Amino acid sequence: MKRRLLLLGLAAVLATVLGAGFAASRSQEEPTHAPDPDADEVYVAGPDGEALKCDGELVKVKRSALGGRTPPLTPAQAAQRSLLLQPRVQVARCEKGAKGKETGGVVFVDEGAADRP
Amino acid sequence: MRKRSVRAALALLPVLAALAGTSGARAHSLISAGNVYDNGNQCVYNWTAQAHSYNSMLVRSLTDTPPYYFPRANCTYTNAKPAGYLAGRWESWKWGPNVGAWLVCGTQGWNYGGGYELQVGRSTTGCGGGYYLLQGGAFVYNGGWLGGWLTTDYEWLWS
Repeated sequence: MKRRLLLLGLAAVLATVLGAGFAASRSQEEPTHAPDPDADEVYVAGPDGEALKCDGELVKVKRSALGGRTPPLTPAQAAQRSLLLQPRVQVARCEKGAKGKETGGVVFVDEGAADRP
Repeated sequence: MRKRSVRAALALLPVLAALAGTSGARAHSLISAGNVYDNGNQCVYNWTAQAHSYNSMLVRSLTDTPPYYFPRANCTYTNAKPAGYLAGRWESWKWGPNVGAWLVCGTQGWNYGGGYELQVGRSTTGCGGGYYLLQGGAFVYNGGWLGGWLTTDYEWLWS
């Protein structure tokens, strides 16, 4: 009986710990507003999922660098360039110059290649 | 002793099930859909959906006028277009609490297609746990690109 109570107690403690962990992970600040569709520049997420910092500074990218708000090609151009196939997902990473030093700029790379050295 | 271990494991099951249920409840899709352009002859329908680890959007070219011109009904009939006349793109956004702003987590370039419907979808690894939303742009070419963007609600995702 004593042991059963002990086991139940342990289960309760475990549940409390797991529940607290879950609640803590969800207690991040909720969004306060929607993305501004007219913003000229936006923040991008880095490899750690936080706002990308390049050369130690938070960076923003031009909206147009993401592909623009309207399609850039006419149908004829799209057909000519064989762009009817789906392109890959792209993510932002810091641009690196000579000797691998960050330049402070941002480049967009294919998602699969983003974390390769 | 073994019996007790089994009982202990059974005692834990409801707790684990509750936790799984809580996170599972978040594994649904958020959908934003509607006509983003309507001039009577040409309508552009946008369907943008954010699932747990899959982002997708759909462009549909519609019209009021059926093949035999009767009966007319608002944005009801399909309006097929040549190859390259439909275009769609999505952007996945994650809330950045550190900067108090939305961050672009990833985007798929513009996709072009023909016919009356174009589907654009990709699984995504995401940018870690956080609040996410999806924006999808749907356009049809008719002397110029006609259409617009829709934004889903945001929700917490683990990936």
